[in-house]
Amino acid sequence: MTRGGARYNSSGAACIGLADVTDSLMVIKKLVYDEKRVSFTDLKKAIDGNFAGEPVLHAMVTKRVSLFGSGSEEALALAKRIMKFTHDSYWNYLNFRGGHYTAGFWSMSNHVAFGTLSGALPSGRLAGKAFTPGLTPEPHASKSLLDNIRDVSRLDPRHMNNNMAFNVKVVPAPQDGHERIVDNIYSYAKTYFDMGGMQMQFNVVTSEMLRDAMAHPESYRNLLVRISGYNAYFVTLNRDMQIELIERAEYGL
Amino acid sequence: MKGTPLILEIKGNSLDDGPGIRTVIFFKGCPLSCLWCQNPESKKTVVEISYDEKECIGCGTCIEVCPRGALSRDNPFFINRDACTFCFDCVAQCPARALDRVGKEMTHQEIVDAVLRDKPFFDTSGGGVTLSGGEPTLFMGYVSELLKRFKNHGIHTLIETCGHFDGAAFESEILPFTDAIYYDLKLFDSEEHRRYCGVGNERIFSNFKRLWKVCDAGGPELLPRVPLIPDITDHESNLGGIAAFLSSLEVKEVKLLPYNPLWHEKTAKIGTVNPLLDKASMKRWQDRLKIEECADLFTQMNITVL
Repeated sequence: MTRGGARYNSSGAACIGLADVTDSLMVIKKLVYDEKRVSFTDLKKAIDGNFAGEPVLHAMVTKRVSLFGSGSEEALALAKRIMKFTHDSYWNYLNFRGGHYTAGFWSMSNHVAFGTLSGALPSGRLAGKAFTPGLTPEPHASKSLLDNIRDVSRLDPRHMNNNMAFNVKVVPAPQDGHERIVDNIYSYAKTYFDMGGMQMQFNVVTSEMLRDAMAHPESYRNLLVRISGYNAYFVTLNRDMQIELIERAEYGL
Repeated sequence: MKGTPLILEIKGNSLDDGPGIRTVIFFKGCPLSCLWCQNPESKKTVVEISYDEKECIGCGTCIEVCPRGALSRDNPFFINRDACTFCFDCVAQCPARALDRVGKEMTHQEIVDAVLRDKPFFDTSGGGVTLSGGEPTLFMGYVSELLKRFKNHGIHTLIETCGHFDGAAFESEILPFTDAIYYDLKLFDSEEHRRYCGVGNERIFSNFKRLWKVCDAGGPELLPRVPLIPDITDHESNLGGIAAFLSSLEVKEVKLLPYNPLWHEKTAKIGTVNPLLDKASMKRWQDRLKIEECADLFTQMNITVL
């Protein structure tokens, strides 16, 4: 320590909002350039005004563009480019110990804190709202969790040399036993790592989370609940049905 | 029915349509017309248009672009489906995706490619592909070729069926490429079946008998499933009849599908009214005790309820 110093002298950065940046650039690429549905000036104006009085444009940016985690090759390629750019930018600088800067994609809970300080984005994320956690895709990127997992597994680990955090929500059905839940989590994890994934963390959805989904449906657009062979998106159900499902989750019915 | 079916949806990450993690292909069109159908958009074989009031932001873009003037807030379901020519200009322009095309043609290769992306998950979970609907056997030739392709890729195949098909054709075109069959038995009395599902049940029960022989002798897994519909299928005389039928064939397992009211909003989306929805029992979840009573009718006959 005191003579000659350490062998590894890198400094790590944690980058927040890979999905937010990718999705925002996808919006500009698709709507301004490819499809010419909106001019860059008008988009910029709407963002500066936090999309106030722009419901059509806001709907368009949030619903008509393929996002990172949707299975779209184009969005994935863009995410990889942004990640490589970020990594290379950091790596090209040396810290005072002579080590490289490394790029990480995790946020602890800072995606919420940083979000409060940031204005609206082209992706439709409004001013003050949280960024996506770690490098987790937007909840509404795909209706299938498998698309999220596959896209994240295909990112290049060499460009995440200060690590990453990928959150996966698992929603047990009331009739699922412990073994079934564990089997499913095993399958997601094993497949993800087989495909080249680097890190993932599971969050098993509880009745408390379902309550939160009632209050904040925008964060739970792909939350699929299972009822004896029938699947439904929780946020599309009416209030009575949601309450019924929460009660069922609590009593294991 | 011959030719190319319309596909409603290919849904990944299903955990309830057979073993493991599965991808489900929903075919559009069904020879039955069960009053309680939970996927009303899957009844007709032809293309339809849906409108989701909850997604609509009321911008009026669709009303402007419609060349037929078929869209108006004054229409009971927003879209005048008699005037609509299914050009889908409105679907293409709706910023909120409140309007949608229901059913699209896909080649075998397009379907296989979409499903293959999920294959790594099948391999770790013992999952595979499930053909559902609607009724996949309406398109026997098309489905046969599709199943063959899945088998060439080493994918476990499961078909969910209402049983109303040509038994001989099923045996030669579907059975050789299928690893499991989930077979719905709804009403034991043929007249009741005709009343609620539009056709008698003779063909369904005789097909089941025929398939059971093949499957029991080492063929694919054949699992009967019974939907428990309040006051329609969930009473003793019906379930007792089905249980006795299964018992006579020495069937050892049955899956009961308890009723839930989650499908109600789907009917308005495709512009239909279902009188059944006015019944109080159809608005509620099925009572737990009731489900146990139903299960008892099968366990009494030594049939395990899954």
